[in-house]
Amino acid sequence: MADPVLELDAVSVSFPRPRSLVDFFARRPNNDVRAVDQVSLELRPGEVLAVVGESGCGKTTTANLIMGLLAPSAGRVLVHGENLAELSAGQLRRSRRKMQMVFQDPYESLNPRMTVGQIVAEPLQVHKAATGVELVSRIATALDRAGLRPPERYLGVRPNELSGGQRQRVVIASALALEPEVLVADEPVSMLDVSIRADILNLLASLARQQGIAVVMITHDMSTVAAYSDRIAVMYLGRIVETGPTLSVLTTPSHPYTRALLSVVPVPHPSQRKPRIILSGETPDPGRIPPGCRFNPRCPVVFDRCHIDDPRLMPVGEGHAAACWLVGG
Amino acid sequence: MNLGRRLWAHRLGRIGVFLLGISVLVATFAPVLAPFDPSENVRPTIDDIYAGPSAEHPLGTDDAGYDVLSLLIYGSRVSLLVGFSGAIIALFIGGLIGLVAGFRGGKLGNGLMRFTDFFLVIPDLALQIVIVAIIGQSLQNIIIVIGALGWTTTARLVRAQTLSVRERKFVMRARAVGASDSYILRRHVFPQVLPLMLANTVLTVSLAILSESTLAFIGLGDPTVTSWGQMLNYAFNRGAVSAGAWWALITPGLAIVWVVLGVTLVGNALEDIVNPRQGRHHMEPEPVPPVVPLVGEAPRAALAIRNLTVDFVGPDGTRSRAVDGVIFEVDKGEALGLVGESGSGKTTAMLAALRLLPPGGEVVGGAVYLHGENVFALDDDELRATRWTRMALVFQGAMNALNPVRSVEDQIVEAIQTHFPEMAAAKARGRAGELLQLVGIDGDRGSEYPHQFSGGMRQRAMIALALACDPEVIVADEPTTALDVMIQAQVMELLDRLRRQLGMGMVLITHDLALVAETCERVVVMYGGIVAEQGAVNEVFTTPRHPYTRLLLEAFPDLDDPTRPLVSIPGTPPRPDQLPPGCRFAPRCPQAFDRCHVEKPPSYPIADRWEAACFLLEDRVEARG
Repeated sequence: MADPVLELDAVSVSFPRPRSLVDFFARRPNNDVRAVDQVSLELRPGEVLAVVGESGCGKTTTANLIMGLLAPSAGRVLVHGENLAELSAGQLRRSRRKMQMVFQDPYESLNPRMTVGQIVAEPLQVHKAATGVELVSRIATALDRAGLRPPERYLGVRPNELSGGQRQRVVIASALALEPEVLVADEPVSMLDVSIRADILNLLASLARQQGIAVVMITHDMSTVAAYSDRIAVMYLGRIVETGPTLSVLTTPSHPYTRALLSVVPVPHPSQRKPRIILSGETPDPGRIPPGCRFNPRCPVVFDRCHIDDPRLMPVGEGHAAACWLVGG
Repeated sequence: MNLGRRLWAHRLGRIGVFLLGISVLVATFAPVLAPFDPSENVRPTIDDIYAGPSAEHPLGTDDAGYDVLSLLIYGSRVSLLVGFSGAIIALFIGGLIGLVAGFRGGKLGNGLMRFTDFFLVIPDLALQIVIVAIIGQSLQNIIIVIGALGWTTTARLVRAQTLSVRERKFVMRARAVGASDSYILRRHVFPQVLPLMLANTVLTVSLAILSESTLAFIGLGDPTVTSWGQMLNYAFNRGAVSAGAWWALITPGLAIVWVVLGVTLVGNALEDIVNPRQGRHHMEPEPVPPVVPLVGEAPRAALAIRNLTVDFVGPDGTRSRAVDGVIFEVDKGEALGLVGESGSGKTTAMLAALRLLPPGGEVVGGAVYLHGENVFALDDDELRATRWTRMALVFQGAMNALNPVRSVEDQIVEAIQTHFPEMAAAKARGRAGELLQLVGIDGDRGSEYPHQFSGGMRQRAMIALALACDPEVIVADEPTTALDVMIQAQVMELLDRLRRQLGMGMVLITHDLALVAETCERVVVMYGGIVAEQGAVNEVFTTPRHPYTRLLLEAFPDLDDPTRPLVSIPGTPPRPDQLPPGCRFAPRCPQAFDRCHVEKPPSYPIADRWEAACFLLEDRVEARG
């Protein structure tokens, strides 16, 4: 197996919580908000990883960590085995170029006054990576790789002349211009029409499979990424609670949260209404993480130990692990 | 840049360009146009003072025997010079402060805005008088003072615009790419702010011209140059009124009006162009839909939509058909899924049914029956009484649909009392409490405001609000789109339970086929404004008859078969203003043949209450008349 492009090694990110005067006088403890708590991840070339969870679970913070837009408060972020914290400013900038992002909303994330050519050229110009003839050829290559063919036809076009799917391809082309090794896609199809989503998902998967780019898909929708990801990491309150090969996680979910999450995803078969595990309430405040297992207040199979001990990821199968006392025993 | 052409196309803008253009020409060619040179000394005789209009002096002479026309012509140079120079100074100061305050924000931005507010509250004229009196009355000083005091509105405007551009996603994307602040300002923010800045500057020009005229009129103008304000000053102080020399009084005033009007019209037109407001539409009442007489028996369904057709009329009068001959029914206690992609007309159809179309929307045909009563035949009072008591709406973005400054309970009480004014306040409050209980919100949280609620709770509150008056039909427009799957499951379960418990009909508008499969009995699949297929969920989802339904199901993910790759439908959904002539789906349909491209397929019945609009079904069944 190839060496990982990027590793998160027990990374945590905390944000200070703004304190009110009431908190101060009530002498409430000054809890930091733990957006990401001891997360470890590995990304190998050509691999598609889906990071799945509800809002507030820390998946966007994880994306920002991978992109290098956020520094960890604890733990290490390694790019090709090198700790980002130990790099010089110049090395850091070069390593940032290897990580690119695809945004959720292709209608808003393109500047309406710029042409497609200018948009795709922008990262190259910002990083002074290419000029002149080389710039033009790299723009054309990026457009071609994003499936906008022939590239010449799109160079002078403005975003409002394109469909949602084409716009998302422009966003992808712009991310590909710097020839990244990691592509982080934050809900890449949620704003697109159902009938054209598969195109974008197929494109991202083929970038991984054929061109060896590591792709991270951040999503709340398990069904969309199921056919396109190699591995899934399920996050809850800043922690990865289950991770493993996609099929293994989908067919034998081991964490009660994953089971609940899978059970409530609607399926388009009216005859197969399955029993659903609807968790009551909402994800708790990440500033007030419950003691013991953080899922215990909502867990349908909770028992004594869960209130005291915090379970770590324990293996349940080949590359498949879950953080639940019921699996490791 | 086609700004010039658009300015010319703007009716008032064209008048402004005309007025301003003439002033600029006059100022440019003043030495050629003016019959006399005002800088030349004249030795007036007594008859030359305040001489009336004559062949030699078409606008007469002033108190020193100078030709008024020539003075006017040369005065335009001063006015335009002061106006534009002052405005450029104001643009520079205001633009810089606005950009920095908006882009940097934080303490610096706040400080700059307090500084701006301070200047804004000082009366400009008073300060100008004081400063000019102190530093001296030269034209240069006057320009600087006018510019240095006239930048505040520009600064505020530029800051507001910069703030909104800074939050746009493409700026965030540029940041993620690694662009520096100065690059983002130069490349993304400035080009977005510039047009508004220019439009505002043109308006500042007219203010600067007026300021100069005022200063000159009260005797604080530059004595070495002739400006219109100065001409007025001399005329008033040197007996033009008693001499009856109206020409010396009126003509400079008219000249000022001419230029200021021209500049203002151009500025307003530019603002209209760069920052278009749809003022026109909001002024017009929603067109009353045509009442189509009922043929045959009145429908007994809770909600029956018959041949509903809706057009959108663009600002230029072009029509596009958003909903075209839609027919479906919802029975009491039945849940119907209205499925479609963007632009399919699903939301428009339901808004038309409630007569809540956005500006530009117009019902051009068909009828909507609530228990047999035509909604389109109701007068305004009846319509108000019908909305919410018989058909209520759960909106997509609950945060936007709830009033942020009133407590949730108050809003429910208000809805109840609007429709049942005779109900006592205490009773209405009790009912609101019951409703909140029903949707799973603790009674004591009713006194909280929407922003204190989470997304899921807001949507529950929205449902409680919709139930306030016991509607017969509830329309839920993408009620769970912005919510997480778990909260979506909670909200959908709630809606399903309430529908059964209260026996309401429900229309669920969504793009999510799976949601329909799980919660609805019947489904209507819309595409490009028409109903492609409708029938029982069990039948349509297992054996779809319209190619669009079938392909849409293949494009939709399914966790029961997680490894099946999804298949996109080639092409994109049609835009309402570019509908294909034949079958709406023909351009994307793999099974389309010649006829599909020229003729619209009628709806073919397949079984009881199951039909699809596709020519492939023709051989098997007869089309519905």
